[in-house]
Amino acid sequence: MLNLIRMDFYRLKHSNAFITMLILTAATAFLHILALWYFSDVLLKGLGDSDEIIIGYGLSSLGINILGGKELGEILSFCMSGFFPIMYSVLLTGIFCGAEYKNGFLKNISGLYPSRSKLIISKFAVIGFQTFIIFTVYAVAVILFSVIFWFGNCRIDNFPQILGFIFVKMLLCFTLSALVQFFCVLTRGGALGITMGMLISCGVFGIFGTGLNIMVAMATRSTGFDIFYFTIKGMADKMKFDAPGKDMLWGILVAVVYTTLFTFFSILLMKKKEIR
Amino acid sequence: MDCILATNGVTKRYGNRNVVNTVSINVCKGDIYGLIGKNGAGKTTLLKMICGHSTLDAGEISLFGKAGKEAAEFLPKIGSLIERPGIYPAMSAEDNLKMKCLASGINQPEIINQILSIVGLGEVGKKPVGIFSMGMKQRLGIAMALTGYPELVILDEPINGLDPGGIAEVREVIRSLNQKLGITFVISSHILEELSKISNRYGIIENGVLLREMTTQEISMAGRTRIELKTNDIQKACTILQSAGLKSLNVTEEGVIQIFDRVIDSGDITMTLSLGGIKVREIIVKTDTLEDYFLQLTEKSQ
Repeated sequence: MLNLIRMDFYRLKHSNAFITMLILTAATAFLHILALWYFSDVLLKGLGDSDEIIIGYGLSSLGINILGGKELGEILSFCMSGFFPIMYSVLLTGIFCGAEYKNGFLKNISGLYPSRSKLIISKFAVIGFQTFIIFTVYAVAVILFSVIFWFGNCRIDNFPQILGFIFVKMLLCFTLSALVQFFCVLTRGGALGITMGMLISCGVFGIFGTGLNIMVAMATRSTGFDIFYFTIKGMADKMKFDAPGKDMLWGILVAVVYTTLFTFFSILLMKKKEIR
Repeated sequence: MDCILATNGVTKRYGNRNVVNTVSINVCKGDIYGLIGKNGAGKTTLLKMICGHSTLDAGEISLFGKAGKEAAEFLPKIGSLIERPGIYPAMSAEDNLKMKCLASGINQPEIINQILSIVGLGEVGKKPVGIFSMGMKQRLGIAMALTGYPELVILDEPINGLDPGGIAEVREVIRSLNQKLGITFVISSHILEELSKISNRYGIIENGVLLREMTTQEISMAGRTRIELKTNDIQKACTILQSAGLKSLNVTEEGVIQIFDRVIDSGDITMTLSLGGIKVREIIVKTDTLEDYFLQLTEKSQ
């Protein structure tokens, strides 16, 4: 297993995609902060007496602490509320895992690991590493550019809370990567995995969840049920900087359950499928 | 000799079709085993099952004397090149081999250059594999199979895409690794002339069925010897030969008279025909090649 992990890290080190994603991640963080800073005056005026302004169709809200560039935790939470950097991470997973099948390299090593489960499990080390690196680069870049743009105005109110928030978000991103790996095994390539990963991280399937929520609400005449508490992307979206502790724990539980399931099915498929 | 690979009634089904049907082959230590068959005969599928790339629907495979789940433990002792080489195009040949070494737990950096030199890729440097020619990729695929010098190497159509010089080089590499290191090879190919130059045992497969398994000696003994001659008058020559007591005659479309009677000497034929006023333009004694034998066998099976 350790040999496989070493092999995967060697490939990651020589991967152009990894470097590209890191550059894209930092560039996205820069553009995010630049846009916030540039429009902050206009948006601050728009706030009026209110503490926050809703943007888009309720996709996100901008508070006084963000627009003033004051609280880094909230800025980070805002910048991570969309599909960045999750999308980059799952994209990289699709490219990385898919390449092994697409190029047929798996044939060279599958015989070394007859049980095949190690071929799946070992990938988690590299997936976890690249998720961690992408999130770290994004978080550091967001904080760094915030400090640069709002020089002297920034503060961190609750550092452990920031770490907790990033950790859960990262864990959910890791789960999404496990799903992408499952699609790579299923199709013996990266195309479907990358597409699904991108669609999910962009929230395209959210429309079905919303539809289901409406149907359940109509059937039960109650709005207590929310399917997004049971989906990876739904929970990733719910993870805010100031999310309650029970939501954070629920997020971890969702991540663990789904990761276990995707791993189990990936191993099952890997054992059954012919290696080409 | 020790049998290091044996398949016992191995069967693989795709849908309702048996692509490999109760095949039993035996490969001994030190063999260069040639698996012969037309395209689609089931060679690759059989090799995939041996390498553990594909599951069996029936039968059993023994590796190094162990069968069933115990045999799977010996899969790391097999190096293989099945169908196309599995390589990362953006990486160099050295990096690709390094990856295989890392996965295999081989910590001898010198082995990479050694193997690249063996397959004739010692000078490629850091060029990405993606710009390699087909033949170079094939050589790299062979290098991947040889990494760690496994005890058994399975090569599926290894000379595909190689130029004549490359074919000869690969042949020599196989021969030398077999003789010097005692590596056993199983090679599938439909280029029988090449296979016949290095193999000592053969398995002939047709429509998923193993028709026969035999050694080089057995093939040359089974191969028919014939006399082939060209004359200025085919019809008259045949009449003279038949009246001289020769029964097994055949005239090909190209006008070559084939004589299969073993008793007769080529000198006697020339003399008999000369006495009958026939001019012999060409006369040769021919023995069936592996290809001839394969064609006879597959024709019979149909």
